[in-house]
Amino acid sequence: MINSNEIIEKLEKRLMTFSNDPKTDNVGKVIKNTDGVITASGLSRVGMGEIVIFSDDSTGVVFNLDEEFVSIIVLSGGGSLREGDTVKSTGNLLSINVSDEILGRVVNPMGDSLDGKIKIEKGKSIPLERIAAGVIDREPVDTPLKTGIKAIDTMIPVGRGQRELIIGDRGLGKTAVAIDAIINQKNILKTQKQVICIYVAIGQKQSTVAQIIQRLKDEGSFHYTVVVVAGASDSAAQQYLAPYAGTSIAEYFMEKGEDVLIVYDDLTKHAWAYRQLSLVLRRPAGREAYPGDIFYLHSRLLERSVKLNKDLGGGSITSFPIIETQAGDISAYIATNVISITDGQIFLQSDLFNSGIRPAINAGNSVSRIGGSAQTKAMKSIAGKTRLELAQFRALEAFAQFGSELDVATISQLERGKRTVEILKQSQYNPLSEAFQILSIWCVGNGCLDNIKIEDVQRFELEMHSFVNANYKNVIDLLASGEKIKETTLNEMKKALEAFKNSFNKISKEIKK
Amino acid sequence: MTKKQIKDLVITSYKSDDELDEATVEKLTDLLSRTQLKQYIIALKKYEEDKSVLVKLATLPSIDEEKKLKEVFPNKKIVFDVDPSIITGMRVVNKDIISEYNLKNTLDNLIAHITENYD
Ligand SMILES: Nc1ncnc2c1ncn2[C@@H]1O[C@H](COP(=O)(O)OP(=O)(O)OP(=O)(O)O)[C@@H](O)[C@H]1O
Ligand SMILES: [Mg+2]
Repeated sequence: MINSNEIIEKLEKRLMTFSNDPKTDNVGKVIKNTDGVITASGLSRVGMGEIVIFSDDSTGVVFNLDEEFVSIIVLSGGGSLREGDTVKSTGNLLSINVSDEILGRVVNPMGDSLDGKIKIEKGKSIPLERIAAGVIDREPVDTPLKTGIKAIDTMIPVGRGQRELIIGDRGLGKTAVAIDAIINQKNILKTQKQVICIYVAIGQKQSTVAQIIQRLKDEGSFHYTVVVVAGASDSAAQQYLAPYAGTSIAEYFMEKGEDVLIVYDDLTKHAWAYRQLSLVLRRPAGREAYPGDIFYLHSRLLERSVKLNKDLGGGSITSFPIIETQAGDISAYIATNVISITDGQIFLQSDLFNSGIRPAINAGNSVSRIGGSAQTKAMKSIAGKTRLELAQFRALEAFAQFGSELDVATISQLERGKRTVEILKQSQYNPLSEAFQILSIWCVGNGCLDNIKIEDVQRFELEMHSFVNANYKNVIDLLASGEKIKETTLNEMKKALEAFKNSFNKISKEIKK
Repeated sequence: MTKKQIKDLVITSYKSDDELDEATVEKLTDLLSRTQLKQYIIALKKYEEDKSVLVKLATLPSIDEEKKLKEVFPNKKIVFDVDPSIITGMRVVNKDIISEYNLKNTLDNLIAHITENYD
């Protein structure tokens, strides 16, 4: 309800200050309109990144300040702008309105709704460009962010507040890794903090994005997720702004003490969009025609992924930037840039993918610079050696190809390695909780699988999980707690496995008959 | 032709009493190429705009008001424009800065403020 007295009071106040409270506007005239970039004269008082409004109500943001001209990238409308049209400054920086209601929504970088629901108007207005938290405000990363993917959680653990790059050629399951990580956040235990997820789709086909959204809905993961879309048919300006908008949404939640996971899919297309804008603006082009500040483009974005200290609420932003490579070349310009900014990378390789190893993670080239401090004690004690063993296996395997005589120890090491590779395979949309991951890795590590045929390993794993879950629930609970694994627990695990193996072998024999 | 040269041309096109000298302009027009002429016209327009101030009022200004405005903008030509929708007060357009000292703008702002904050 409008309080009329209040309004009249305000009106009177305004009238009283009428003569000495002038409003000044800064205006300009459109000179050129090229590819979504407007050149305007006047506007001598606007700032970089300020929003301007054109006479036909379309909006833009100031992107270049020259001596005589101002370059403006168009955000909405702008198709019918002509030479001589007027443009007015607003004094506002580009920002997005965020409230808790944004969860489960699909928005564009300006916060406009893309899912047919109403736009969020009454929220906190957060500028798209912000300075990342300083050194004092931060805390070391120590809490795991579980992706539910065995190969990642065991060998390349990711912590809350970390920036982990997902890199690989097209069609190798980069998006799949990120989406699985989002889906896995629904399996979080009561004792842990819920993770809010943000998926930023940059320059992707609308159909691909629609599929991902549908999948998240089907998996029951959409209510804690926000999707920011600047599709392939949207302007380069929108694609350029999308990751910053996503990060601003993430910061809203982080500042409330929440943990956030943000996926930028992908930053290669983001760099393309920025290159396009820069070329239209006639900024000097450097290597691969990218402008000189291309490094800053991504560093200022990824610096905003932090873990805040307790005084600031202890929230965090974990980011999964995605980079697409050509023919596995991780030394390309944008790829090396982003590798140097992030705290590690998950490298997907095409020959692994094609030989059926999915997720196609190359454990040798993948690292997490946070390492074991982002793992629970239980996981660390079981999985600590897996990465090394796998690397040794790869080296041995290459050597064994020469067909020379191998001694028994080497053969058994090779066989063990093959089973490790097999157990690390995992289908899509099928994240595993930590207890089951530990069980699987522990099984292969202590030789339980040595006498199981390779083609039976996946079936063994599946049945073992449901057997232990049904008959030895206490083991699962103990493992899920994340505490250091005690001798008694280990004995329980051995007992459970013994029992399962008996029944498994029996069934296998029957199948053979 | 550089920007500086165009600027010089514009300045020489004016007589001492700040009026455009038609003869000089005619002569220049014959000498300049099409692109140069375009640049010259843009520069002329800008120069004209820069040295005048547009004042919009609801009614014609009184002598007193005119005198006061002249004191505020001593080196500028003041162009008056009558627009009753301003209600009372004035709007001053100086280069690319528009200052609103009028009731219409205040009311518009109030309306905008109310629609944004109450529903
Ligand atoms: N773990 C997996 N098991 C089986 N199939 C998978 C797995 N991960 C991904 N795939 C399949 O691989 C294909 C490519 O996956 P995805 O779209 O995630 O790759 P991408 O690297 O994001 O591709 P793009 O470069 O086009 O974005 C999909 O058909 C997907 O179903
Ligand atoms: Mg993808």
